[in-house]
Amino acid sequence: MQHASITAPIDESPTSGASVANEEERSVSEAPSTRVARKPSLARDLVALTKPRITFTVVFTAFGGYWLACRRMGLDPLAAGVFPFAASKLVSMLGGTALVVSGANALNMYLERDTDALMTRTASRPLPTRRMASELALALGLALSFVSVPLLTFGVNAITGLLAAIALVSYVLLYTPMKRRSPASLVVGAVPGAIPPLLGWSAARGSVDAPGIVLFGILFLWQIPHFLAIATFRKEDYRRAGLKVLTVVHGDRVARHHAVRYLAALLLMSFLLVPFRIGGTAYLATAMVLGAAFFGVGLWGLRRDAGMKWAKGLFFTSMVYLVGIFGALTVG
Amino acid sequence: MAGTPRLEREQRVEPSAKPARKSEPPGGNPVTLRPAWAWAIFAIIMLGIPTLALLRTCGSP
Repeated sequence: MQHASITAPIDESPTSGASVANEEERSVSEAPSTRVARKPSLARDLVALTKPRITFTVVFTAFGGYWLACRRMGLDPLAAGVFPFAASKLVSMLGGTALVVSGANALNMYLERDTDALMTRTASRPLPTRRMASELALALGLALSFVSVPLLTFGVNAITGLLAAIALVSYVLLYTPMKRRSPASLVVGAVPGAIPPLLGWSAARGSVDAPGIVLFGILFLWQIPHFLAIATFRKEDYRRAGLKVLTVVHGDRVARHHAVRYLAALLLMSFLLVPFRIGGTAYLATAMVLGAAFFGVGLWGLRRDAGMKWAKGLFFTSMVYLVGIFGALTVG
Repeated sequence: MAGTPRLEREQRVEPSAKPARKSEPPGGNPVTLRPAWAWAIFAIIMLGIPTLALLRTCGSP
């Protein structure tokens, strides 16, 4: 599992994240038979190391946080970008976020090259196939990290740089090794996975305040059922790689109960954006309908005969929920 | 080798590669955070830069 990085748990995704629309999603949506085989090249492999789809999703969620924070301050987020200072800050935030996520992903691939070789989904990556020297991946990951954190610190503000550094370090040095040892890595990985919208929020506001923390909380809680669904239908892959995900260590039934608990917390947390005036009536209606549907699918999984089909349904519902919630926030 | 029939020579298999050690997992040796001090320095630098900047910001009027 991978938290979409800063990019997310169960490489999953910190950060992921919502880092979180992640490579797992990609693997579900793109069956190997439908992919167009491309000739590997060094340039293509270097790009693959950064997990570009996850990176794009993370940058998008960071921009979402920036957008919401600007609106809260009564600023038009796009008009704010017209002013040279605000524009350079926004560009630094988006660029720095892309670089820090890319660096975290490259370091994650460097540290997981042995387990990646054992999993169907990841066996064709540049490092397990030995198309690329692992030292090159390490150098790329370190270089991107050493550029991105100062860029966010001095190009945006110190609090945004610190949040990015926390996401980077916790994803690479806590979550990544912890996946081999404990199912608790799921919760640890959800922290960097939930930070990206907070990066955008703090870039606009210059601080971290309660509504930003609620955004973080929604993304944090959302990741748990999302990745438990993945951990259910990819259980054999994780077992083969020796990764200690909840479904492998404690079984599907325990994982389903965990998912329901986090879904209940997510439902309550999502309503908190209304008193903070981040979400209006349209958002509240969306949060209630989609939240009830997501929770209902989770409850359906407590049946004894719930299996892979249910897990894929939960995964699909989680994606619809996330897109719907953030869509309602943006439009509303 | 001169007296060896050609077919027999071709069928002879040279031990070109060492067999994998049984203790090694299929994916190779487990990757670990070694050397630990290098990763610790990485974490200190990454967290230290924004922390120092934040402290400077708090200290300035």
